[in-house]
Amino acid sequence: MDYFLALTVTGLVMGIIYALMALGLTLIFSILKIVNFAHGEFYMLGGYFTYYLVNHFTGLHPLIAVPIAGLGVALIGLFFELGFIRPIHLDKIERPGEYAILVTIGLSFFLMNIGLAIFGPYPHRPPSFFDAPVKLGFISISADRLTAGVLSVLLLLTLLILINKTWLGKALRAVSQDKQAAAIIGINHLRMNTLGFALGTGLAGLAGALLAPSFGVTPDVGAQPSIRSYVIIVLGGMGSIPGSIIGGIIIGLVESLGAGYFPDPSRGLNYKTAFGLIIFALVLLLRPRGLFGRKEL
Amino acid sequence: MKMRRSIYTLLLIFAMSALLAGCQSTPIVETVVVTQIVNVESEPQTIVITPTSEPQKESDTIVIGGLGPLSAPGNYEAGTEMLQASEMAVREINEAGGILGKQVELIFGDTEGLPERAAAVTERLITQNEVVGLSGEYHSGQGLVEYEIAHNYGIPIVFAEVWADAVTASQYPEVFRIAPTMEYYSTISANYMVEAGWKSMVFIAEDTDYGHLQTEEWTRQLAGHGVTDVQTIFADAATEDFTPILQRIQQKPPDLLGIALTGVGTGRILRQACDLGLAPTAQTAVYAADAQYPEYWENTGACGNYAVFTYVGLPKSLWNERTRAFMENFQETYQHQPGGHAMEAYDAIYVLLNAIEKAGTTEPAAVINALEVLEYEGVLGKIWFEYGSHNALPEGEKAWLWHQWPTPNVFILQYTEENQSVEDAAVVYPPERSTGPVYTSP
Repeated sequence: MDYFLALTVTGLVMGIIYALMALGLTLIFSILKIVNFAHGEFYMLGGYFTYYLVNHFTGLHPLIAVPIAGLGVALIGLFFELGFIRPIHLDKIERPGEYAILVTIGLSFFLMNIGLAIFGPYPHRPPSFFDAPVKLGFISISADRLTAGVLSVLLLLTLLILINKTWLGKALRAVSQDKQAAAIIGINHLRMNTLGFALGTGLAGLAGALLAPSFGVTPDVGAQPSIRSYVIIVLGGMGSIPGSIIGGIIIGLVESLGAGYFPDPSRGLNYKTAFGLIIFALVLLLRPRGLFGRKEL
Repeated sequence: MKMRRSIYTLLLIFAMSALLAGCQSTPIVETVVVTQIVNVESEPQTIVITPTSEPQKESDTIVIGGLGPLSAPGNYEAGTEMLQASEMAVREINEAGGILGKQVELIFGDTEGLPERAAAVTERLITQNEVVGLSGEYHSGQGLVEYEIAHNYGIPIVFAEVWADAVTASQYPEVFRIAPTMEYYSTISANYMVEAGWKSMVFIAEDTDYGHLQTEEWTRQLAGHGVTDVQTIFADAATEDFTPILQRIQQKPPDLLGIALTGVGTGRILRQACDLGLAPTAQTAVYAADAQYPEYWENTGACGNYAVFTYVGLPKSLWNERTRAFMENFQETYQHQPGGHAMEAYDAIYVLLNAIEKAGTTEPAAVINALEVLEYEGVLGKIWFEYGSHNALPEGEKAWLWHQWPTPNVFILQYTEENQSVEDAAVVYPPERSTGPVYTSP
């Protein structure tokens, strides 16, 4: 029983962090109607920003560096949206769907290779948030991971309040539902697009910054989290915020329990991603729109 | 609606690719997204190192090919150092006047840790760049492809850090190796594990040719010593979270937690095992394959202390003048402490070019003959190839000894202080070279 609970806690903490990253992708899809294939690279940038802020520039405590890293990544996202995504919504692009896919995949290549050129090939890790592991009864969990989990919950709650309770959130939801109707009531959908993209990429950056002390950061560190995020948003229902959160937690739990209980231990870890994908395939078979699939936020 | 359908289709393709990567029994491709990124290029990526003085015409240049991973999913950390070391060797040779009165041009192909890319790059170097010899490579999976191509075209190749026994066991005339073989390396490390008194072991290995060959060899060799409580767990080299499987291992802590993952995986497992209180402890020791990088301590913190690891370079206590000069020059040029694979890449270039000089021509058959009888004093010590067409392999001798440097460096080291450099780590095996006790427990 202790073993089961230990795996459950591990899966839950990871699932919440997965949800944070997937939520960024969901926001971008809901508002801009595009899939950001460079999401993993924004995650990577969040990790590097924290590392350099703490180790090379300011000597800040990593907890303070995290929001700055998130903001920095959001700014890069904002400029990218203004330069490359906005033309889609100004009807300047002949085949906007294909363009969005190509431009974000291109950004993914660019960021990964520029990361290799600037940051080098060696893995880096910012200092821990807190050093000692935390004992929760019989469960020992890394303080870094627990901190990342708790902060992710706080960020998710803040985001839910922002989306549901503020004028800005209502404006974002309005654009996600119908940009022309939103324009009639005075909402500038172009600004909301920029804001939504910056917010989404900022969340990826925050997830990268929060996990950097646990997993380290390399130029290709975003590959696995981005694949996982695509699975989560389809599993939860594309465009659904609750779906992303529940989807993230499900994937976290399934990966942890699957690796822990798979009959052949030599393959338990290797099939970790596959366990999540089996659930993903089953949900798509039984409920093609995902668990909470809707068209708008 | 159409756009939405195409997005779903794309996401499904991504997801299914990941599923397939996780399910293959002996996968070589590690990371789906990265694989797609690098494969988009129509031409293999090559890096050309320009000779120090401009050749007057093309025939005044001797063109050789370098091989190694410079992109994910390959171990691009190691590949980058191998490129730098190869570049350094070529620069030194050119500054000293070149070979046969000609400048040397090195064209380094990025094999990306992917067999299909290794095949394309090797083919291109031979057929389009018309290299007269090849050297380098880090991964066994790629070496196993490259040696066949080199053989098909009759071009000599000196492998720097490819361990798979099959490479020289092929007994192809063109294939030479200065790295240890898997069996040679495993014999030393398995003997050490027995000597340390460990009876139960769990290895977490990367799901590549290296991981499979390594753990199969360890299991076989340890069984020969009567140690049968050996378990292997395979993982994608890009795995981030090992905690669930470590929690599983923690149910019955072994005497040794072995890590056979290259790159960032070593640090991740070590920290996560340490956070759980699994290892390193008085009960469970840690053996980490890739603990020689300077960034090791940054990635592991205090958890990295007491790790035992393998070093295929020369420990400081055994450095010769050339090793000392190489280490100083490398650090001065690249501001980085090189790993053992960099020493191997550097020596492999010198071995190839010395053979060309001795042959007096770049004609492959003559170069191969010169390689067979070459004796070269390098950074790693004296390198020669005991068996080949010049000295037939005795019956009953290991087939991989063909064109194999018979005494490559394999040392077992242990960190005994936090932030200790590789140079200061204790040599714990083999006993005749040891500078510390067999194992220091936390």
